[in-house]
Amino acid sequence: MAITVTIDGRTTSVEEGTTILHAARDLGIEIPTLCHNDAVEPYGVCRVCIVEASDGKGRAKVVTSCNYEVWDGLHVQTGSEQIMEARRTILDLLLSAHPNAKPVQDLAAQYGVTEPSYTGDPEDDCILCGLCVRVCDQVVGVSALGFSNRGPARKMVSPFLDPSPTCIGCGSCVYVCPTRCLHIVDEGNKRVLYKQDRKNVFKEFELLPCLSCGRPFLPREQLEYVRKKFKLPRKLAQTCPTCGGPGV
Amino acid sequence: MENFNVFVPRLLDAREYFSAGHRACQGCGETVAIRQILKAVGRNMILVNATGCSEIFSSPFPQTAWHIPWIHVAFENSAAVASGVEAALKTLERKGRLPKREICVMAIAGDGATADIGFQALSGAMERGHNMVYVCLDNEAYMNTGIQRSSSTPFGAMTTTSPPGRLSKGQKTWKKNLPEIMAAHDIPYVATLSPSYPFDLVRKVKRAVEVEGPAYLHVLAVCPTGWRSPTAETIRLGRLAAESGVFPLYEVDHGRYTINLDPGELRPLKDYLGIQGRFRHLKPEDLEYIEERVQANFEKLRGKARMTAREDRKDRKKTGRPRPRQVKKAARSKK
Repeated sequence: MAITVTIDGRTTSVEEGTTILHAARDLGIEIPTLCHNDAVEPYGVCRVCIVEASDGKGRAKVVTSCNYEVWDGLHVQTGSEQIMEARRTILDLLLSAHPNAKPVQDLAAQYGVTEPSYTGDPEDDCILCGLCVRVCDQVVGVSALGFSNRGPARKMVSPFLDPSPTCIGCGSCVYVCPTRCLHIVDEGNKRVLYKQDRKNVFKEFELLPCLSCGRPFLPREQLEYVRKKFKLPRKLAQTCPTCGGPGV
Repeated sequence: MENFNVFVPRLLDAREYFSAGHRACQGCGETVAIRQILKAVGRNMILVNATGCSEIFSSPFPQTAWHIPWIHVAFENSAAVASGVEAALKTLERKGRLPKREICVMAIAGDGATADIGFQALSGAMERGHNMVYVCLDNEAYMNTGIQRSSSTPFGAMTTTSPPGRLSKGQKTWKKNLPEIMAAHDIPYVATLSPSYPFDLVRKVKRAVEVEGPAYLHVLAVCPTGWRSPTAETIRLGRLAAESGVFPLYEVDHGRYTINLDPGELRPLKDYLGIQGRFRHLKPEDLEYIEERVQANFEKLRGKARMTAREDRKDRKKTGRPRPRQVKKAARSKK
């Protein structure tokens, strides 16, 4: 069922269940985000995407647009003075905690925040957006990453700080990381997944060689997982994508 | 980025900006590249498309495959028109007639429209420093008019205007090295990409949009029709081109060279040339000549990467962290 919403004075009709973020994007109105990816459930943790929502008459409420579903007659303000002020505060706090995280720096600079008010950890770029954790759970389905502790001590880690037995080394977490603090590198027949610098190695993988050209290309864990998941016969997926033409 | 696997594709933008149902040939590499490029940029863009395959097959009147503002221009002036669009946007924003926002101005052209016909317009636009992205979809000949040679056709390739025979070995000259020519313009960002490595492509397109000033992207668009290759081998051909060193994947970010895919020992050239009918007439000594030259070129590229990495290490010593070098902005009044 289509419902009518008004965003920044422009009225549009969207499907029920759409979030404010998507409705605004369809109108070409950009709302900044740090912890959002369409492939996973919204999380509402970075708070950067806040907007004002009201029924057009009464008081406006500040909500996170990424996980707030629209309702009929909803009025949204994405750039009011109150929102700008709150967003500046949020970005200031984020920048204080992670002064060297590039996307935070860029976004904060857009809103005029260049000098953070407090001092945080310049060695830690992880903004705890949870994208890696959610992607590993919801897209890959192995839950090899998680959070430890709470409050200021919260950290993104592999379970019990050990190499996770379920991690398959696919690189999805590295791909979604907004601050690029997760890394995956291939060195010869070894693949290493680590956070920030080489001291925090999450897991090391042994890469299997391609049966045709001999170049290492796939972690053993990944081959086994994919074989099991897609019920592939043993013979398949032992050649690298470059050697394996159709029908191999 | 090239080592990402099975689950990452689901994390790309799910929206399509380039419709299916256009008139491209089977196995066209260009369409794959366009689709991925548009996904990387999103809808905040204005696209200028030179005449060529991509324009012909995507917009037969009265239909269009594009879900974004799109301008079709002649062969020679896509870069000029894109720079005009960029200047107009800047002026309108300055006069307050448009709200300030980041709009990507992109020009897309084939190799003929880039290396031959539109070359001076491109050079001019890059030199003037417009904030735009120029994408060359290189299928290595004028495919749209029936496979005529261009200056981007590789040595030895058969085309209808460089036919092999008793007196000819196909294309007589070596492929024009466009990315290097653009890097010589000293623009902020130059990169070569291939749709066979989608994540590398998406990252480079995003970087090109992000940098202030002109960016040039050179895409290898495999063309089964003109290359006389099986349509199912398109993606594999792109990978073989990169791994054999014929089309090295690298980027030049503010003068710093990075080879994104260095296979160590290059793959034998026969793997790449063997699938393509356009190289069928080549004799072993011709292959040897090409292989030697490809290896020499790749070695040269490695040298450049090593040299700029050395400078980078010095930078890192100063700042303590690896970060892209920024070229000092020219003293130009910016209103």
